[in-house]
Amino acid sequence: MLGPIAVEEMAGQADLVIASLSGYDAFTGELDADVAAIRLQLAPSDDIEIGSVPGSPIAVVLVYQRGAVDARALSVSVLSPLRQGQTASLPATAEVGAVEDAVRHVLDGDLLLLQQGSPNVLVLHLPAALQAAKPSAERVVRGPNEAFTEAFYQNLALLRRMAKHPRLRVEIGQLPGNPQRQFAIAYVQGEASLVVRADLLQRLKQVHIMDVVDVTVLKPALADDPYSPFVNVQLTERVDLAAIAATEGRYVLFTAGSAQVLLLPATFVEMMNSPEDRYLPRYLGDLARVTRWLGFGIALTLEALFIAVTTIHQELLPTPLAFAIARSRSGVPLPVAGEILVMAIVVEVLREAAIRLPAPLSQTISIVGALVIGQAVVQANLISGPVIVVISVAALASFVLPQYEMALIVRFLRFPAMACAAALGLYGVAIFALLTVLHLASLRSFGVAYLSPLAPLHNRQVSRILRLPLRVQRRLQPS
Amino acid sequence: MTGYPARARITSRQLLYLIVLTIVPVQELGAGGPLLREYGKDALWSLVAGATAATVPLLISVHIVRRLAPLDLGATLRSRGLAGRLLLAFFGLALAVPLFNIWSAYVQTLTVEILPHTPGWAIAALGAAAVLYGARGGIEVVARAGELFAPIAIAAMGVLAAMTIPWLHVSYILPIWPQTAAALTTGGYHAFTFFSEVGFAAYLGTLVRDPSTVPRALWWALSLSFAELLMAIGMPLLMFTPEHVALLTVPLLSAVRAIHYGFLIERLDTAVVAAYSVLVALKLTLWTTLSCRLLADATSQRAYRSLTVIATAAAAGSSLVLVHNLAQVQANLQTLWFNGFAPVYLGALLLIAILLRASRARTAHA
Repeated sequence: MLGPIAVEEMAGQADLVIASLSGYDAFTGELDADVAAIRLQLAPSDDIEIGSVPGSPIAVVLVYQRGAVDARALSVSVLSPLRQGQTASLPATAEVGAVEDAVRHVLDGDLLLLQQGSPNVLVLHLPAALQAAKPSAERVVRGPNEAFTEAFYQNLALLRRMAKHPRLRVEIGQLPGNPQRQFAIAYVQGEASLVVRADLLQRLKQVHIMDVVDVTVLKPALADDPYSPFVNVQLTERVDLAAIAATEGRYVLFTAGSAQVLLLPATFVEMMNSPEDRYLPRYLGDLARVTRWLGFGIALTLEALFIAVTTIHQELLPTPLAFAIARSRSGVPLPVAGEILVMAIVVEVLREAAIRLPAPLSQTISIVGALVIGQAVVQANLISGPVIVVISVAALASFVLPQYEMALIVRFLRFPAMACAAALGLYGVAIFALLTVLHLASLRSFGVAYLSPLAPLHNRQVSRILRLPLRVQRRLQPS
Repeated sequence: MTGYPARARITSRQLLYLIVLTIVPVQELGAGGPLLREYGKDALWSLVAGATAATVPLLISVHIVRRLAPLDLGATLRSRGLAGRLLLAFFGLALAVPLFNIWSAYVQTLTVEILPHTPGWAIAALGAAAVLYGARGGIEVVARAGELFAPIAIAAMGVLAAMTIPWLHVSYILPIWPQTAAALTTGGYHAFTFFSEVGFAAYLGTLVRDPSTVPRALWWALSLSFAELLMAIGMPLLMFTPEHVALLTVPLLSAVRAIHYGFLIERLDTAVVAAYSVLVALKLTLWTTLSCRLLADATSQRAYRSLTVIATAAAAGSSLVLVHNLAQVQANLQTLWFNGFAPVYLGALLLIAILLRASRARTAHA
């Protein structure tokens, strides 16, 4: 559409003059210098189109975000008049002379028209092409409700619109396994680690998968430890979460056709945080986070602890509770571990069935599972009442985890925890906890310790775990 | 197994947690002994004595740790040629020998305390798996796990201690001075033992880098060895053995134990033992990792993997034998350690420091 070659030549010259542009804050009318000034403020980025208009009798350069501008409107309202040498009919809304103002307009989704000899830049406004989807898996009560779509460039523009960061850089490439499939990494220059970038690009080079229909397919190829059940990248459909991640120095990975993006590096703590925490008052947000950590612990170990104390360490139970459990178990044919295992499998089956069935039916299945099966097995004396309570609480606790993958991991790990508890009681649970923590401590996500900032503990990043008052956060900021 | 872990990069905070974990003695798990029950009658003074006995060595450790991080003792000494390797081998062995003791006490305590019907081999096998898994990742992984577990364990102990407050009775907090004095002495001794094992070695490692600080290293070596010797002599006079000082080495734990046994709240016993079995497993992992790392530094870095497996299997396997004749074998091992290694410390350190200084001087001259 535009003439990139000419601009690349300009870029080459521009790089030479960038060093002399310190303090450059207004346009001069010299196209080379003006383009260089824009590049200086707006990090070189593959989603920012800077190019001349082939066939135009006047020397102009257009600057805009791909994906934020409707291609048809651009062709009809801007390119055609320019090819005819007309500028009067362009949908100009303003003229700016300051580079900073011009950059702000680009980030807002407008077009800039730079003309040779004019120290002012025309700001062109076209009908908005951006249409965000609604989040389906990561809904929040408070806060923005924008999700990515399947449109590649539109996703990049959505991120840029939300982040509004002049140093947000986007690099676009092709996956080696399928050159038709584009990918993009977005990051904030100066914030994100270049070591992680090199590592990420190296891993992407080794992806030889043809059917990268969704960005999630790349997860195994990006894994640091292929045998670990824990994931080292964070999947999200939310634009605000991706924008926050980018401004915090993380990378956002897009693939063409995917309505989700991967955030990396991703640590265990980040998997436990929800974007909504930021939109709630501090104490409420912290309370939600603490609830989630508790939920993680309950979902992972409650069933195992119940098996341990009822099977091996009955002395730990208060006497009335021990009698109550014993009464409810009278006539139940299975041992406690067997009861828990059977019910855990039933719950898993119900959960899978609820996901696979159409929405109206899935609700029915949930009710059938919760009420009918639960009550029926107790009445039939197949399972004791306390086991139903334990299983239900553990299942509920797993739902508080914001990342679906994390909930799946917990569901998977509680089975070995139950086996350890059934065999060796609390000692088994203790060793299981130790092995889990040792495993987590050994993991890394693109060079970052997976347990960071918990272990190693970084005081300055403690607000990633619990939000601190702004005054304290400012004090912890590195000078 | 991933082979020899990369050079350790651990923070001073992590190392501090490791020290806290390491001085949690395995004998603490040997609950129910008559002496511990007797101590429980003197809950308040036990708490004070425990806190004092633990705080002083900890403060010294903190001082060391601040100078130490990142831990690069192995790399530093290894580059010093044969002398450095000898020193590493010595410290590696000095750390490896008590492993057998810890394992046996660990398995015995668990089989007695909370799993009387479980065969010892099952406990030892699961513990060995955890140790091998942790040692695989090297000291960094153990340090991170320790950093996460130590505050949790201390908080749990605090909660347990708070739970016993309703049972507090004034007749249980009367002072019994002689025991307290003995406890202070032996508490200090116990912490110094560890101190001389790891912290001391690492501190000297940093001091001997610079010829100007070698005299200070020698002063430390002499004074600490002397203090250790005095305590070893003084302990029998006070009729107190190292095992019993377990009560006093960690303040919160001491409080819980003291109150616990004072009021015989048996229900908490299992919970405490189960919770601390994690820390002891972590301690075993740390000792195996450190000893194998030092030995691997002294020999070949490829040896780390094999050494870890051999050390873990030997210690876990021997525990099954030791639990049947624990007292005698433990006594033999302690005799071996105290009489065999402790005196050699001084001589070896002196020799190595002189060699290193000479090597430094030659390098400077060249």
